[in-house]
Amino acid sequence: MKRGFKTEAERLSVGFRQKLGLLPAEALPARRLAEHLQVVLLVPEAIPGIKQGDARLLSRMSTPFSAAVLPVDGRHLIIHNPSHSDARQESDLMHELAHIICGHKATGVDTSLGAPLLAYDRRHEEEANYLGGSLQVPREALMKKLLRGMTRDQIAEFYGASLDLVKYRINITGAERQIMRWRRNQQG
Amino acid sequence: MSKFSEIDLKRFAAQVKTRRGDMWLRAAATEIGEVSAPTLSRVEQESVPDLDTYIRICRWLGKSPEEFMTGKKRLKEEGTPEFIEAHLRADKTLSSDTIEALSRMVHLAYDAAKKGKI
Repeated sequence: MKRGFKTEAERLSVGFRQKLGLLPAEALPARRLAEHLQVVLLVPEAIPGIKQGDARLLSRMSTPFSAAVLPVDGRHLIIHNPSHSDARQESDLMHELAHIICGHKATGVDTSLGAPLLAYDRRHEEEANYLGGSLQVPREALMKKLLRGMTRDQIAEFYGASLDLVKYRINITGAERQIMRWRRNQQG
Repeated sequence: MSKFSEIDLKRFAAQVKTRRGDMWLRAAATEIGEVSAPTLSRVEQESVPDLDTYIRICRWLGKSPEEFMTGKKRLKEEGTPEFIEAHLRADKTLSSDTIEALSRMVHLAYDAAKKGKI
């Protein structure tokens, strides 16, 4: 991740909440952010002309497909798998919205051929992971909730996030380390 | 952006299995580097790997990436964009069926969006 990205991500997380009339620590549903960014959210069966078999395959819980972002004429569409858990869908949508917010150039998919190769840009993935996570669970709010004694499960429930995401946020932000340091200082 | 040719997944998977021989999946994956054992197992089951994984495995096999390209191409429909940019978030090894379904879906969504239907 480039220098200063994490700070900027946290600033964006709070900034979007302000624009939407939310407090810095409030939950920000991905659908609400998508609406604000004028991003269209779709499920496979809503695509005009899609074969039933394809729609079913791409909407199965067992299918590893999570979401696809499609830029078209200055707009963005996100097509996502509706069968994954609510928490996973939130995470997937926030991740894709993060790519859009960062202006990441998408990966090419050759649709005129059979089985195309998918190329991933690792740096962009790291940035979208961090920003997506921050949009869901802002760092300052996370610290305050941990200090107040909220459990990781309670924090996950509050933000509609998975427990794994909360653990990821605690690790990547160093929140727990900072709290331990603060508590040690308090004890003198 | 360059065109992708189809990979001969059957031949690729066969060579991976032969090269691995009696080695545990995990040991082979470690040898390849930055590839997990489950990913390697899926490659052996003829799932399409992502580009990074494909190149690493080719290096491990001592083959160039072009070795398994078939150069097969389907006819392009008139008016169809050659490349639709789509960012896909998914498991790194999707089955060929899933990737083809994804390609068709992305193509349809692009057309519908261009025509203002979505």
